[in-house]
Amino acid sequence: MPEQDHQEFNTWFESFQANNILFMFKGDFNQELINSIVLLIEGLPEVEHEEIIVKKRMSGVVVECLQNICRHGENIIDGSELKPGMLLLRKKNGDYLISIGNNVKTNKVSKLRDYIAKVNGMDNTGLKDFHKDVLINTELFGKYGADLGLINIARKSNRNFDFDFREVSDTHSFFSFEVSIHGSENN
Amino acid sequence: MEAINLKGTYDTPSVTLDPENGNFEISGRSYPEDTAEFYIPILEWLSNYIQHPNEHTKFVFKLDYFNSSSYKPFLDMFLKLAEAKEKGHDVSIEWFFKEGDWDIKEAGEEFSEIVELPFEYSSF
Repeated sequence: MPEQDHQEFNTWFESFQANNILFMFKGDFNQELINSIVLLIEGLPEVEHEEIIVKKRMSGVVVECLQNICRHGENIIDGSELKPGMLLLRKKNGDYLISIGNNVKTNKVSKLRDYIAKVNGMDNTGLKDFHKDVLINTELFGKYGADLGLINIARKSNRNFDFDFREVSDTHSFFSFEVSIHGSENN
Repeated sequence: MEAINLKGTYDTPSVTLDPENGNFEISGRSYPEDTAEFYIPILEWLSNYIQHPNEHTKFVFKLDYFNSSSYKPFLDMFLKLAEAKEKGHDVSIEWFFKEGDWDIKEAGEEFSEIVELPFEYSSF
């Protein structure tokens, strides 16, 4: 490895250390990989000692977000079936920050933005009622998954989530989504 | 009726539907890649079962985790079981949650608000 590469690698490591990064993956997601990631995250030394509710909320959010990439993510490079994205897990002030990024079609952004903002604007009772409403009124095996998924994420995180869209080409935008789960010490 | 016995995997639950021995249970994790593919045979089996159900049916749900796509097939299962109850059969749900996992307990409580079925809660 050339000297410059070693230096770069060392800089990354130091940056990961400084930002308390517990887990990171960038690549093409599929169901088998999601299973492995959940297993790895639950077994991380920093996570293993957490209360069961914290661990379940973390793996729940990771599953919802990554399955969402598998179902709706876009590959802008070659349009193949691969579902590229990125997952970053870090700890900050006793809470776990789960950041997920993937490309989406820009023409879907405004609908997505509206829906996320709608869920974000609801209080706990509103979310509970909305969840019930979506559950009852959507058809079996229809395209309800992402709707309920976001409501579940909002409930598991006590509505601590944030998102952003950035145009990366004429047709696609990068969607970044960050969810915060309270660690046991902050519960 | 022929029983269904499915061994669980990392992302699909164990399923026992065995009227002869009075065992009805779904346990483990449920976040299949293809929810329809996994649950359609189970829902079809239940549709047939409720035509001539046992006198008593206690259905056990003992889940570690289930994703948002699993909610709807679960609700559909409860609605089918509620149909049998409405026809005068004794049907109840035993809803297990891991000690401390209040989200799973709450999910059971919310299902019970939608369907006319008695839910009992136990931790494991």
